[in-house]
Amino acid sequence: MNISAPSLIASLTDIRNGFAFLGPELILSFFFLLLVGLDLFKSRVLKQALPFVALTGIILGLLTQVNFLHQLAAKQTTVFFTGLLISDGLAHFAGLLFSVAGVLTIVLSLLSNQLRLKFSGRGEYYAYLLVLLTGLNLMAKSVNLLMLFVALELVSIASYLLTTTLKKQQNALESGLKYILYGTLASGVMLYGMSFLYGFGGSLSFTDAAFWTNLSRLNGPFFLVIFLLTFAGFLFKIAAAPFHFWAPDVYAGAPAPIVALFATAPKIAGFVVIIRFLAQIKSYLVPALQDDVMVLIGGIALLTLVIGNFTALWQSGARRLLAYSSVSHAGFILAALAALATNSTEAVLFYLSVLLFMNFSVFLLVQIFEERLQIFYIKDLAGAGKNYPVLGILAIIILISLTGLPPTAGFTSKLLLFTNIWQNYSATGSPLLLTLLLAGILLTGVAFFYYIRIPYFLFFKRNFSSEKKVVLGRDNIALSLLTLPLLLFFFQPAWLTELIREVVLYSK
Amino acid sequence: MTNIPLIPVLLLGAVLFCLGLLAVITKRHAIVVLMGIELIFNAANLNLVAFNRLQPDLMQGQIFSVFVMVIAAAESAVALAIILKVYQYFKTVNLDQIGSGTDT
Repeated sequence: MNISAPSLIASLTDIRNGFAFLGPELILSFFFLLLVGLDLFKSRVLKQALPFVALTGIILGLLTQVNFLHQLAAKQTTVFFTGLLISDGLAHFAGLLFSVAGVLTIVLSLLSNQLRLKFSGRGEYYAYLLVLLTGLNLMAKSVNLLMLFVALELVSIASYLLTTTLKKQQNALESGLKYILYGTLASGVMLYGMSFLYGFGGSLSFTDAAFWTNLSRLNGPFFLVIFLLTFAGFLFKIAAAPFHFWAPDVYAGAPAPIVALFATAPKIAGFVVIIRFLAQIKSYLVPALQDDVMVLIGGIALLTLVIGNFTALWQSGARRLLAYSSVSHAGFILAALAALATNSTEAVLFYLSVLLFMNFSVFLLVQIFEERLQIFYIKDLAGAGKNYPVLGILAIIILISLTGLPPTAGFTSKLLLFTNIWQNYSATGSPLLLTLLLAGILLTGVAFFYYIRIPYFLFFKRNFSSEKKVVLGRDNIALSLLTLPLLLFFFQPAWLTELIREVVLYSK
Repeated sequence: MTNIPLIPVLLLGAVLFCLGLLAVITKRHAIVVLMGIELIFNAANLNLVAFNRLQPDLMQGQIFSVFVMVIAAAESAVALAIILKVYQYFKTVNLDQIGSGTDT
């Protein structure tokens, strides 16, 4: 096959210009190499500086994201790297959240006893973290099936390695093995679906109108099977119902900062990809198939909500409880996306931003309980609230926010989400949306019961064995700072919603 | 170049996919499960290469399959490393005998 010189030069120019939009990825990759290099030296000072080197990299990436998000109105969405990646509001906003998640992961790791000082895999730990963030950024930007697959695998492989960081911990290896087997299975299934999308769509670029027009010719059930196979990979990342089996094991075995990261960042990336797919489906696919997709997504959302919330009721370990709570959060967001309406993106992005702070604060809480107070099960919490009043009050705020009650940002985000579903129901009159709305509200009630168990044990149960108290100065300060956004976004949601509105406008 | 019809290749891919899935579901040995997953990757590869015929000039399917092979190799390397560690710890790689049995 022959390629003419002018077209080759045009592609090369396009690739060179594309680097302007790759700021965060380039910075993160550079710092990854720097970390691997620095880790080769034996100097103690250098080893102790590794977390801060990683932190510098992530903060520099964060600044470039902020720079992109500055003065959005004047900017345009650009497809670069010969149609592999896109630079738009959604990608950069997600990138901002990933960077915040990265910074918080490092802060939590520095506060952790096990990860802080003398743990041998320190160099690799922070290096994998940077790889994970690079993959997430690329995933949020990709508009091409090949690019999406590569980015997703970058995220997955880094996640498997991070899960098994603490090899001494018995659960770590077990959960790592389960994670990698489930994970590769999910990517294999996704890849099989993608191969059919490529074959019948006639292109790898899933933002092409022609791609979806070609797919529109397929008959309903066959398209749905392909669609579900492809979505298996994304649903795995967001821990939605038929693909959530890894969540409880991994949440129980991985280090707390990494679990907090898994519960937020890959989830955000997965939802960005799903939002992109569903937006294309809404615009280009024939209406008959759109209805099928709607029922499918709605069904998955309902299943996720029911499984997540009801299984959480039976959990005795805090981490498993939070794993199922994370599954149910994915269900709430999918319920909003099931309408295939363009107006749900704002509510979903708000929910995801609040979820980020909620998850990091709750896993810092778990880390403090496990490492400082040696409490692993909910029943052992008895009386801890009286001994540690500050910790107890912060725990109540965080759990109220996870349930979705005022005065916390969790309430605002659930309110926005349910309002959005209601709007779409009034506009279309679809009974599916009404079912999802009612199920969502009812299951929030169920969620109240399993979350409230923790404050109940903290404050209302007596504990007669008096142990000596641990001083929690630094942990309390960090936890209060993390809890602050939860109250802030309740009283001043406009700060976040304004930004998200601009971001969504810039995405079109 | 002789023309191989598309449908038999796709059917072969589907058979490979089902065999892989069956191995993952029924086998308890971690390495055999991994082999099943590799079969699924190969089924996808076969599809990609077959579908490439519809637009032979762009070579997208061929290139995709090369990427898949490389990534699958990287993934199995990580998986085997983890399996090795698991074996050193538990002295078995049977999925039913690993762990504390606190499944829900």
